[in-house]
Amino acid sequence: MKKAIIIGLAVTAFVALLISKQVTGNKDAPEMHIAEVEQGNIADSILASGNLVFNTQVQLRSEVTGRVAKVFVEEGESVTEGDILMRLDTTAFESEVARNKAVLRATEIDIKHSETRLKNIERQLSRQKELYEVGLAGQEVYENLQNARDLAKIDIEAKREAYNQAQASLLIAEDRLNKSVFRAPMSGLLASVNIKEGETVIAGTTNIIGSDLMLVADPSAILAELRVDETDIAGIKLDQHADIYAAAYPNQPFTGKVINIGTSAKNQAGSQGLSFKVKVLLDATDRQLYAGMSCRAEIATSIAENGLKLPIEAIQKEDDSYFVWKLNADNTVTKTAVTVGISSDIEQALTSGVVKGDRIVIGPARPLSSLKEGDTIAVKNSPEKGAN
Amino acid sequence: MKSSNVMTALVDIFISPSKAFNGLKEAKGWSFVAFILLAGILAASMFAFYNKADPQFLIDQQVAAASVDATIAEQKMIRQSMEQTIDMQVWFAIFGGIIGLAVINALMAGYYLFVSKQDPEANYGYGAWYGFGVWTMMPMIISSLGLLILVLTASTDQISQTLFNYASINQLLIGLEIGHPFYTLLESLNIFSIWGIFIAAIGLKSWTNFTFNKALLFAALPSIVIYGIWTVIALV
Repeated sequence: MKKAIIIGLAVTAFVALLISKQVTGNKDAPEMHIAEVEQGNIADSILASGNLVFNTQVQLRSEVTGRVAKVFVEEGESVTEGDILMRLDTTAFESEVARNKAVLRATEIDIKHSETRLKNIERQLSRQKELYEVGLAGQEVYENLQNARDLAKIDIEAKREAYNQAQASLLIAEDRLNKSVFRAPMSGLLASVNIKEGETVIAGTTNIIGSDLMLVADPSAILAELRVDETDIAGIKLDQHADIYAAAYPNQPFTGKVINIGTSAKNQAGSQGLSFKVKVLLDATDRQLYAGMSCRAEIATSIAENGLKLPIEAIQKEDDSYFVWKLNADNTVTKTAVTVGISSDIEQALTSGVVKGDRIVIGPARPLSSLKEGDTIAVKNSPEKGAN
Repeated sequence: MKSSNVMTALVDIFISPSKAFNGLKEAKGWSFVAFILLAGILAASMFAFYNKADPQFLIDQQVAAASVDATIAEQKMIRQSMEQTIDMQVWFAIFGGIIGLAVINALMAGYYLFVSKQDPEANYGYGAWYGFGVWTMMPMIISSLGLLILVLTASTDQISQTLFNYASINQLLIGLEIGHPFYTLLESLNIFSIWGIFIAAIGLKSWTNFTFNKALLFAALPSIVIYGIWTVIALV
């Protein structure tokens, strides 16, 4: 009897196990997110980072070497064209001018001396000529004098050239004296002043760049100099719209337009990739911006205006064709082939296959990938991001 | 008490195994009937399963199981090789299953022969122990019948190979996900194999002079060793 109960219980348990394990198929349809096909604009964009610079800026460097005697301006000061900014110690330059003036005068005197000598020789020559013609003087003396006169003429010519040379040297010395005084090359803001009184400035030569003295900039127009990766450069065109996010205003972009695209790739320090320099002129703004700030930019490379679009996760790919799962009125899904246009990071433009208002399954990804034609799904509400 | 013929023995092995083993002592030929019945029901359940299951779904399942860490390209390769062999899988399952049974039982028979030497009075030959082994596997008939019922009552063709292990410890009690170190171990350990160990223990007690505890120890030892090693491997 006891055994019969045990056997009965075991059979019951086995039957219960079989019932519990029974395969019932898709009794609960997978819950899926739905998005409607919408009409709107899509901007495909390229991201790049860079720095802000002034549109017009002049870096002052020295052409002469010398000690700074006086700096008349401070960083941040506004200057107008021609203002004296700083002056080098001019003692050496002034004495150079004085020396060259003296040399010039000495050559002048030399010329006068030679001219006087020439007159004297010519006088002797005319006297000797008369004596020679009447036979009172020898031919040799006469010809010697003729020779001496020619030499004196050449001597004067040489002295005149020495005079010109001295004059040129004087001009150079005067120019160097002038260049020891630095004037503002344009009106604007002194963006930086990197020199102090008493320091020595070095003139630039072939291999050595001259000392940085000052940066004069026009603060009314600011550029973003962006480093655009070589893989993205093909999409960048002049006049494209760009949103610039300066580090100081991370959430309020400045707007601007591409005004210049670099023509050769530069190796970026610290990275293997090559990048192009792209300049974006920022539109006028009330917010304060400073040159040298780092920034990042989104350059809109192509815009699909007023087209049909879907969240990008809705688009499925099979071999080389694209399709979406369209939700029918009875909650079954139909595989619908579509052709795709441009895409942004989150949205995909569609050029055919769907109409505005179609309901499309967008996720979650795992059940989405295993959907089959005619499957029934349950619509799950409020995906965090819809098709807007 | 002993079973009088092979038919009663086939019932007794489930409800009072000692009767069946007592009868078997004198009628070794019964084991052929038992083996053929076991192989037949196993084959029928396998055939029913592969006949009903959606091949594409099976491939999806197997690719997912085989490629937990695989890249997409590797998954594609696995999928291609499986698509070529999917039609053959039913025959691999049937004949592989039957041959596997015969081979494992051959090893077990050797083991039973070895442990029976602990009892000087027990002198059954290898063939007798081979037949003994077949009878200890009889719970697989119930298991296969259960599978057959599950397959035939399934309302969809989306049935997965995990259905084979419907009575495993993992599916009944633990529910580990595929890819877990202990998944395969616990999937293979099922209540029918535990039942088989008890039947073997009762059989050993019936055929030798072992106490029940000793018989149970000998019956369970192979499983303890195998699963012990497996656990160590899974942990490492």
